[in-house]
Amino acid sequence: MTNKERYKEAFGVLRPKTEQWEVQPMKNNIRTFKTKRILAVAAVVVILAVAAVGVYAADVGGIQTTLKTWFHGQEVDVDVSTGENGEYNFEIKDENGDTAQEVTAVFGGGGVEIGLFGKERTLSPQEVLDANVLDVTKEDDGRMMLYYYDQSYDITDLFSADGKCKVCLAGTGADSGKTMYVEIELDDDTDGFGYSTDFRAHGSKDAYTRLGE
Amino acid sequence: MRPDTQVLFERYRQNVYAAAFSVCQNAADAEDVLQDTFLQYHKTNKDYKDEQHIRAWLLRAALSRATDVWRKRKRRQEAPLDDYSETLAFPSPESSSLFDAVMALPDNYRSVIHLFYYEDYTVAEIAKLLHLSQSNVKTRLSRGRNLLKETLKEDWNDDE
Repeated sequence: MTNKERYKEAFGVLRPKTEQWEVQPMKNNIRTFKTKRILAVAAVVVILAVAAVGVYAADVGGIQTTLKTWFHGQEVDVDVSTGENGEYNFEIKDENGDTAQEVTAVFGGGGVEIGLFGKERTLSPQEVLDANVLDVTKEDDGRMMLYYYDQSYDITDLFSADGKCKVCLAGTGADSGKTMYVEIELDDDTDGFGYSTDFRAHGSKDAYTRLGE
Repeated sequence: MRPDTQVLFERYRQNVYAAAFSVCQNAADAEDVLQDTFLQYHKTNKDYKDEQHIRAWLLRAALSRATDVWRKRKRRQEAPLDDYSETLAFPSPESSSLFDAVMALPDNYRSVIHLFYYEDYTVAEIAKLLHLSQSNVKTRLSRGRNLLKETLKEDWNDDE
């Protein structure tokens, strides 16, 4: 049996109790029938054979330190803690001290994956943050934005008719002296997008629109 | 195309529920995500290209909502898992072990693992669906697989 077959067999037992989609007009609104919550009366004992991923910090689960990074063009403070599986949890605060975004680093406590089955090395939290200063987002109004350190660019109009966009920009910080090549592709199926970054151009450099000039 | 909500609900309710549960790890929350996702579909006046477009839209909406629910629960420091898994009729002890092992994965890995192994999406498709880079998806997949292998040992193959 393949892993996929095993996975489908295991998760195939999940069945929602709700069998019918029901909507009820109510004062010109639609109301759903929410599931009645059953209060759990017993603590759950789930024996989880958690794989031994080297835990990076001694104070597991607590705030380890506060670092600085760039988030959507602004320099922000980030509280960094280490999860029970060794992952880093980053909590970005806004100017009011409220949580603006929570991110769990996939590299945390382990390292950088080189290829699907390559070797890893441990990254520090700051390295994880530095590796993620380039971000592409799709705003609620449909605009596509690219953020890199203190720079922000509206790249909406740089997409070709087939939903692709190639841009490049001068490296900053740890990427200083290099050129960052970014390719973004819209996906009609999901209304989403995917992107990749590289220090090398894929194909002709002329195909990339240089940002920041 | 825009199929009737009831028709879609019957067709995809199990997929949406399983995806939601894989993230929020709580049966009642997953039921709510299921309802919210189809309510969102019902209220959104959107025309879809084809069936795959709808399926991807539903899964993305469900995973996004489930992540919100999971984060709120985590912030309140409530244990997400209830004794629900003990009530499930797994066909074999190995299935039960696999289920528990996936639930023990870090949250960032679970949605990617689920989309790959349950929904048969490719790395590129998952990247687009979750708004991630392909390298990020590969990393999550690889680390998730390694953790499953360490936990399940011979019950998890070395294939992809």
